[in-house]
Formats: sequence, structure tokens, C-alpha cells
Amino acid sequence: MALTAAEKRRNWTPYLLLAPMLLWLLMFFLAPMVTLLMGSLQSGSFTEGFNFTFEVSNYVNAIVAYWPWFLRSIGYALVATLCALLIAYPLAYMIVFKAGRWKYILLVLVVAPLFASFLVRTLAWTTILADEGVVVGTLRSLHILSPDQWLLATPVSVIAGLTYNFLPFMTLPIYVSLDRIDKRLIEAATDLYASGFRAFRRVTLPLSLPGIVSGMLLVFIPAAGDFVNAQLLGSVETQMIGNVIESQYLRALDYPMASALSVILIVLIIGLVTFSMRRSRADELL
Amino acid sequence: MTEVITAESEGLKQATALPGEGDLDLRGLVKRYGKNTVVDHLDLTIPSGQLFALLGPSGCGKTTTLRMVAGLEHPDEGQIHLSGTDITQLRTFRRPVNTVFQSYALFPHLTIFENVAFGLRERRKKDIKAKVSRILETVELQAMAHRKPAQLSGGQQQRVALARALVNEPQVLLLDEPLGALDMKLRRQMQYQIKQIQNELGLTFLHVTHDQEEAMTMADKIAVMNNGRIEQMGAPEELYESPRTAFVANFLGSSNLLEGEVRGTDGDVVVTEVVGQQVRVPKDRVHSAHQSVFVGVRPEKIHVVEHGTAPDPSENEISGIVLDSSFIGIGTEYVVTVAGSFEPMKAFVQNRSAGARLAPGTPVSLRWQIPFTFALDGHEDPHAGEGSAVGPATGHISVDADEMSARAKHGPRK
Ligand SMILES: Nc1ncnc2c1ncn2[C@@H]1O[C@H](COP(=O)(O)OP(=O)(O)O)[C@@H](O)[C@H]1O
Ligand SMILES: [Mg+2]
Repeated sequence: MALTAAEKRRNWTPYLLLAPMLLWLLMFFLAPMVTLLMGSLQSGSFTEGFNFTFEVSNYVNAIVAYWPWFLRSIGYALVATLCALLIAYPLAYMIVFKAGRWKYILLVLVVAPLFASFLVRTLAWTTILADEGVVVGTLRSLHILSPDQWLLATPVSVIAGLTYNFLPFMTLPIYVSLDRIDKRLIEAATDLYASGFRAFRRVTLPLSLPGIVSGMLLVFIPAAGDFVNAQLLGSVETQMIGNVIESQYLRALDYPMASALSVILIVLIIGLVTFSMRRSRADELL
Repeated sequence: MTEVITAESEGLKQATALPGEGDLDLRGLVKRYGKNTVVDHLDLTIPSGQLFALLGPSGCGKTTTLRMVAGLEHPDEGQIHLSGTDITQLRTFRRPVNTVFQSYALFPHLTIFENVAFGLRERRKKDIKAKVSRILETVELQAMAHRKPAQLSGGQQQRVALARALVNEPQVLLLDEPLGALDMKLRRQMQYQIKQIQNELGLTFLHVTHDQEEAMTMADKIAVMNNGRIEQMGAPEELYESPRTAFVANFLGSSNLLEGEVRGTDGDVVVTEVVGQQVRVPKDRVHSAHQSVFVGVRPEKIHVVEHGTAPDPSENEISGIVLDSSFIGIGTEYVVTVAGSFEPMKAFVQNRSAGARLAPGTPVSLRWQIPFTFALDGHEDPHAGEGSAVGPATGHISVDADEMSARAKHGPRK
């Protein structure tokens, strides 16, 4: 029996509905990834041209030459993520539970830095952390820093920059998850003999875990691949893998090496995230 | 820190082991939100071991009162005593009371078992597993122990909330409209079950509801609350049979309230004049300091006879003309106009005798036993508490609603 026109159309409907989604995946995810992978397996030079030769040695060279940069990036990103969490959680908690009518003003202030460009904000920190600046001056007068120590161009300043720049991405998801908590649950906990701290520990904190996990991902992932903070606030010794990739692309013009480094970074991040999600069984929370 | 709490609440518990010692005493409680006085010098004693209902219309301050007992709200004035100990300043988590919240407030991230075990764990109790299992059995939820609250039906969640509070054996269990979200049939079932549990455990239950029928079926004692004050307190029959205020008379069931004047006394009855006819009221059922009164009688106490039937001296009688009658299955509701009264009277007659309904226009006598008559302060609003009652027992509330709209057209009498 021949299909009527209407029936044919019906068979195609699911695919038509999925098409925009598939196209989106193809354009913004699959295409760049494939290009990157192909690029990382090429050989040749910028002047003589690159050829696809399935050059796996690019990866070996990348790891052998740059593993310290990978380690440093992961380390800095982890520390920055933890610092951001330690700042963002109390901040979000205060906005949700203590701010009263200031709630929305504070929330705007949290995202306000995002209105200024990333570059401008980071440059501002070079002034703040400068040797003649307020922070160093204060720390020196408190004898936390000796007169021959400084902050700029140290790991401290790079991590501070990362923490600062990605802080809103930690604060917002935590704010949302805290704000969503039914306040009556906390009352129920205190009614069931939990002190304020115990109620936080057994109700508020577990219910805000989804926010913590998303916040940590949203900070860790871009921080691990960042190069602006290391470039503007760091020194040669504090370079991150992002700086290496950037210079391989733009200065050494060694595209295969840059691509291989990028792929390794992506795999490393995905691996770390999956591993820690498994370990903390955080996937159950999301 | 937790040890201190445990010791304290244990201490309170032991002090109240004696019978009659566990009374909850609210003295002159006041709570204001801004200019709005929500609880207004409230005095109330809830005797130990009783199922006590706090009944009142929505917004009268029931939840606020309960929250002050739980410690979730701090009173502006007054004290709360439990077994003679002042607990007004005691922090919520140190009070030996537990609440069944209106919204249940189950912890969504914990299993049913852990929800119920919450209070026991906080107080570092022993045999948690056995205690939780036992209480889950009582509410018939053993099989659900490892589920999360979201996987349960509304009725099951309600029972978890009950178990979670009960397992702690509080001195007072506070229930804030615990059955409000359930459908009629389930609500009936739970009313029975809660009463059953209360009987078995012998704990003090303070049950808040706006459903007069629920309060009357469940409670040993009821306090009727209105505008942040207690209007009247007593056993359900007492409140129903002898209301002291128009609010109580109308909020619990419905009442005929007719303007009258006290004319004198005759032995242990007070003689009043209502629409030109004599109505006798037992002395102990007159709650008015004035000459002008509202004389009241419940519609179902009245029998309707055709005019001219021989009078009975043990009965009061008012004559009128049938305005309307409606058949409601188990009975017939008559609306009778009474000469000299703007308000018609209602009579609810059970369909026990054969024979046709009395047709509109028939002259009739409304008669009822003298002891069923009560008299209220004539300066009250005779419509207080009307229309706020919920859950018609026999169906005459729906007639009230019609009447309300009729009254709205004519405006209030006073
Ligand atoms: N936190 C609050 N702030 C302001 N007004 C409140 C607050 N809680 C309750 N009220 C008001 O107090 C009155 C009594 O509330 P409630 O005790 O919840 O009444 P009920 O439980 O009897 O329905 C209501 O008019 C309500 O609007
Ligand atoms: Mg309420």
C-alpha cells in the first residue's frame, strides 16, 4: 500500500524537529572538534604547508615538552576553584538568608563585573596588586610580606586573578540552589532538635550541593584553559598551558602542536571532572 | 552541644511523667506584625494527654500561635509554660515539642527512613532502627522506608510527616491543618487514624484546623479562635449546644439568632420576648449582660408543625409562614418567615414521618425544647462567623451561602 502524502510527512516529522538541534551540535561542537583532532595529527611547517600524516608523535612531544605546564594549570585551577567556593558560598548564603530587601541589589553587584571586559578587569588587578599598591602596602605594614617580597608576577596573583574573574560563575549557581530551598525545611530541622549549625549541615548544605558542583565545574573548566590571568598577572614561571597553546598558535605557528595540546587539555579536563563526579557521586545530585 | 540539648529535653520529659503535669499553658500571648495584631492576649491551657483542637477561620492566627509554641516565632508579650516550666525563651531545637507542618516539609534528599530518624539522630538516641521501624509500621509505611518523599502520594507523605514527629515522643505534638491537602475520603480515614494513634500513645496533640467538622469529630476539647483571641473553649458538645458568642454559634454548624429583650425570670429560666412572642431560655445558657439579647436555637432542634396544633408547655414556640423548603435527602430544610423579624428562621427536619412537605405559604409553628434555647449578647454582630465554616455536616451550610447573598442585597440589619 502506498503511503499518502500526509503519512510520509508524519514519518519525517521527528527528524525535522530534531534538525536544528543536530545542526547546532554539528556546527558548534562536532565540526571544531574534528578540525582540532585532524589538525593535531598533521605534520609539516607553516611555510611548507601542513599534511595529514597521522602524526601521533605530536602528542608524545607535547606531553614530554609541556607536562609541567599542564600540571601547573590544573593546580592553579583547582586552588582558584576552592578559593572561589570559599568566597562564593558564604556570599550566596548571605544574599539568600540575610540580605532581606538588599537581596537583588547584591545579586546585581555579583554579576556587575561581567559588564566590564575580561581584559580590563584583569588589567585593573595589575594596579591593585602592584608593588606600590594598597594590598602590598598593607601586607608589608602587617609584616605578612617582607619588603623584598611582592605579589604581582607570583602564583598568588595569578590564582587571585582566576578566582576573581570566575567568581560570579560560582556564586550564581550556589545562589540559585540556596534560594530554591524551601525555608520551611530548615524550620522543620530545628523543630526536630537540630541546632542552627546542624540544620545547615544536614539540610541546607546537602540541598545546595547541586549548586556547588555546577559552580565548581563552571570555574574549574575555564580556569584550567585560561591564559589571560597568567599573562597579565604572572611571570615566565607562572605560565599556564593556555599561554603555551596561545604562543604555539600565534607566535611559533606550529598548528599541529597547538592542536595536540588543546586536545590533551580537553581530555584531561573531561577525565578529571568525570573522575571526581564518580568519586563524590555528584551525578546523583544533578 | 547536642549532649546538653538531650540532657535538657530529657529532664523536661522526666519532670512531666506525672499525670496531669504535662499541661501546655499559654498566658497573655501577643504577636504583632507591624501594626497588625495577629495573636491578641491569648490565654489557653491544653491539658496533658488530650487531643485538643484550635479551630478558627483562615487568617485568625492559628498557625502563628502554633509557631510560637514550637519556638519558630517569638511572642511580643506573654509566656508559654510547659509542665510548669517557662519555655518562652527556649530555642526551637531545645523544646520537647514537634510539629506536623501544613506543607509536611519532608526532607527531599533523605529517604523516608532517614526523614523519620532525623530527630532521633539529632538527639543521639539508641535503637533508632527499631524505633523508626515501629512507627513506620504504625502508619503503615514500612514498605516505603527506602523511598524518597517525592515518590510517595500526598496521603503517604502526610503519614511520614506524622511519623517523623511522633517518633520523638514529644510532650506536645503540634499539627497545623495536617489534613488540609487531602481529599475528603482520605481525610476522614486520617482523622480516625490520628485519633486512634493519640489514644494509643496518650500524647498531647494540639490540632489546628479551620474545619469545624474535623474539630468536632476528633477533639476531646476545642478552642474556637477568632481574630487572634479565643472565643470559647470546651468539649465539642458543649460548644455546639451552648455557644457563648454569635461567632461560635455560627461557625460551628449554623444557628437561628433572633433579636429579643429580657423580660424577667421565672425559676431557673429567663423569659425573653422575641418578635412579640415569649421565648424561655435556661438561666445558665444566657450569656448577656444586657437587656437586649439574641435568642438562638439550632435549626435541627426545631420541629415544624402546622399552625393550630396544641401547644406544649415544655417547648418554645414561634409562628411563621413557610417561605421555602428544600429536600436534602436525609432531611428537609425549611425557611420560615417570622412576622416582626427581618431574618427568616431555618429549621432542619428529619424525614422520619410520611406525608407531604409543607408547601410554601403554609402557616406553621416552630417548636423546640426549652433547654435547646440559648441567649447571646444583643450588641454582637449576629452574622459573625457565618460563611467561614467549612465542611457542611448535613448540607445546611450551602443554604447559608444563598442566604448570605440575599443578605448582601439588603445589607446588614444593624
Ligand atoms: N510573617 C508574617 N508577616 C506578616 N504577616 C503575617 C506573617 N505571618 C502571618 N501573618 C498574618 O497574620 C495573620 C494570621 O496568620 P496565620 O497565623 O497564618 O493564620 P491561620 O493559620 O489561622 O490561617 C494573617 O492575616 C497573616 O496574613
Ligand atoms: Mg494556617
